[in-house]
Amino acid sequence: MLAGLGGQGVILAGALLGQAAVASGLYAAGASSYGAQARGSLSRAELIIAMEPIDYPRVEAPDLLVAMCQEAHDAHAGLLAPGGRLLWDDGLVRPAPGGAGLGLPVALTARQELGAPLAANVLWVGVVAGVTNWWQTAALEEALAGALPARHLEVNRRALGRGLEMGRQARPEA
Amino acid sequence: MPSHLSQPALAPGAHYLSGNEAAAEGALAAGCGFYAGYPITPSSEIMERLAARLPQHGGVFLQMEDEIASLSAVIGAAWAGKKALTATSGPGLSLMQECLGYAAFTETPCVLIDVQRAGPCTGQATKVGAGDIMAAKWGSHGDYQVVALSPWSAQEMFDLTVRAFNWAERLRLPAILLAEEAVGHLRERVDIPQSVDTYQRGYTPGAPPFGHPEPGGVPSMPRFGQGEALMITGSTHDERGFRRTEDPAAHAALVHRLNHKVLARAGELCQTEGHFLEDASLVVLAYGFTARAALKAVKLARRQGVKAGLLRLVTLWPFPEEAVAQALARGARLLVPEMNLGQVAGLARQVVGPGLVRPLSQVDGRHITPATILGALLEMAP
Amino acid sequence: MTRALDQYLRTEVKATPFCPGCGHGVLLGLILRAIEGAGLDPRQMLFVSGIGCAAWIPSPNFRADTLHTLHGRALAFATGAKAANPGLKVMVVSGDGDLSSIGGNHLIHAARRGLEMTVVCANNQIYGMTGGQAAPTTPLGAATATTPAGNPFRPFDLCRLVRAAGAAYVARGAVTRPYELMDYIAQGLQRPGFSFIEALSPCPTQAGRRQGLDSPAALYDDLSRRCLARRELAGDAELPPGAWELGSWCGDDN
Ligand SMILES: Cc1ncc(C[n+]2csc(CCOP(=O)(O)OP(=O)(O)O)c2C)c(N)n1
Ligand SMILES: [Mg+2]
Repeated sequence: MLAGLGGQGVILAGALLGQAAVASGLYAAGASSYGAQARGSLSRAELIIAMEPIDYPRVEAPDLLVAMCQEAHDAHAGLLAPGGRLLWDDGLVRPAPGGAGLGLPVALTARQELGAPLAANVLWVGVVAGVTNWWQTAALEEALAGALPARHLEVNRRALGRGLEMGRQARPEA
Repeated sequence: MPSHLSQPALAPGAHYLSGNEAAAEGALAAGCGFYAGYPITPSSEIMERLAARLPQHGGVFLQMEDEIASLSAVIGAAWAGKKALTATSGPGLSLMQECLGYAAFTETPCVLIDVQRAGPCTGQATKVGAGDIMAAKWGSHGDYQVVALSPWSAQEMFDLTVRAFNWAERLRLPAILLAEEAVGHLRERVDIPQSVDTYQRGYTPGAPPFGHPEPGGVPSMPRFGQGEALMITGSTHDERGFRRTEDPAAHAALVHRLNHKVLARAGELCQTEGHFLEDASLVVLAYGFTARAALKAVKLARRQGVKAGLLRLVTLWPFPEEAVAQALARGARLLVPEMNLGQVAGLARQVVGPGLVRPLSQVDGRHITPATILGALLEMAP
Repeated sequence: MTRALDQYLRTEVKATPFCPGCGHGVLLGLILRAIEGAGLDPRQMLFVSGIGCAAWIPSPNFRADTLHTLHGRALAFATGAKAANPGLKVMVVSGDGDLSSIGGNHLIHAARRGLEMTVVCANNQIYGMTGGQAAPTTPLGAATATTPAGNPFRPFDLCRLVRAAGAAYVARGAVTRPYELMDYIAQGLQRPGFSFIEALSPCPTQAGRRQGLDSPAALYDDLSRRCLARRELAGDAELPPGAWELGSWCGDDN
């Protein structure tokens, strides 16, 4: 489950992950919810991926939760499945004291390293894929190319690559 | 041969599509050549995709001034020879009702997709509901029949749209895909087949367009411009189309014939799916998105030793009475979770009597979760 | 002359349903003659109508494809048929109430969209079929079944309305001037785009009766006196109250 504010690209991130999962031969089911305004209200993309057809397609207790802002963290952290993993943007979210999980400087990296703050969502896509190792990189790149206009593609490819790196480093076994 | 294998417009294989996108692709695969509609949440993605896709495939797309005009244009296009579609949500369905009766009475093949939201009225435009079950069947005045199907996945938004077109064309009637927001906006893997079975209209030059020698027979379907001098009217008519507005026997015969045409095929039309029914003492009767939650609840209940099963209604109209009766033949009881105040539960009660049916209604704009259904099953368990 | 139209009529239909003195029967013949005059064969056309006495002009009388639809919806049905098969030559024939009240929204949108079709609006200034209730075309002050004390509201000027909505060709004629009216209909049929012909057609039974014009002759006489072509008016003179300006307007005069 990915959660953030409208305008942070949460829904697109979920769609890219779902698209890439299906392109890799997996089953995927995604749903998104957002407030009435296009910007500024809480927005959430849920995604299930599985090896076989999915009975119930909605996420009840996520195994992985990405909180892209404080409000999203506060609203969703409690849903996490036992043993589930919580990731947050450590420049934007102050986790609950003692809360398990990992903060990553995603927005900062997008802004400073890539010069593209709006690519933070794609960076998160890379992080999720890197942490879980469930996605094929080629499928993610293809999904990216299918979803974005050519002029934004280059920087987002770099964001994806950078996210994959950050994710792999954060893998529990790493 | 009216049945025909057609190639879908989208490449065969796995795609990640929303239910609404899948429905648009299903329409193209079924041979839809005309769409007219008016934007409304949560159905608009169907219209938007077809605005781009239909012209690429030789079809015609029109945005009309309202939903009345939309179904009117669809009917006009159907008689001009196209397989025609409109999509809407509750408020639009309400506006389309007079035209829906017209399509049924003039035996016009057409498909209407209703992506249901939380009603009545404008209600919660972006939230889910399933309150249009009765409106789909009884919303227009008089006695008529429609075929209505209830998809539970993005895959079925594709498959059942194709099937709706086939029933519409084969039986010459309005077929309705009673979808729900939760399925229309759900993104899922959709496997596009190599080919789909599609039905092509039967036309016999000179045959009466509104009558058939056999009871329940479907008349020949001509189109404009064939020199048939068609007389199409929503007034009572004879087999040629002449108005018979003063003739009691003509009216009764027409109303009976149109109803019989559908009800005589109930066996083939009524499609259901059983899960764990063999030994079930508690049967969840569900349809659409709710059936997904019900399937999970049934599996969870079984893990707790409760003999639960699921009877999923794929067809809602005509109502699958026989399957419901059979599910209870072994003395089971029914739980009917639905996102309305008991519209299908009421139908089930008519079939099996009031004592055996427990409605589980939720009308708060949210879908019913497996936990809610499981809770009710555990309460009912002996 | 009368027999000449038989080939275009369903001769199995023994009589039209129109009352003695109703202008719609005259209009029926004028439409067929106008189509012939435009070099077209009505048997190869599609006629779409709504609900009302006027909607029965083509249905079932014309030996052609006839689509008798719902009250007000003729233009929306016709739009679907025409868009689906642009090769169809489409004419819509319906009443003033049908086209401008319940179907008023479809009228302005069809004119705006500009799909090619010719609309003949049989304007009797009343709801004829349902017993003489007020229409949006009923004159100010006129007594009807629903305005016993006189219509308190102004009527539409349908030609101005449809011109403003973007029609390619708009005309107003009257069954009391049959040759002009036939010419307008033929012009409309030859025009690409959306054409609209308002045909004034008196209703003795439902309108005349309540308005002190109780014989068809008196009603025709009254309509004749009210109809004025622009060329019959001195200079830019204002139209006298209660008069109808006959004439035609092309899209580019708008
Ligand atoms: C939805 C609906 N509302 C009302 C009616 C009743 N109705 C039938 S014809 C008509 C008026 C027709 O008037 P007009 O179009 O002017 O035709 P006329 O009979 O005057 O030629 C009405 C109100 C109807 N058939 N359908
Ligand atoms: Mg009238």
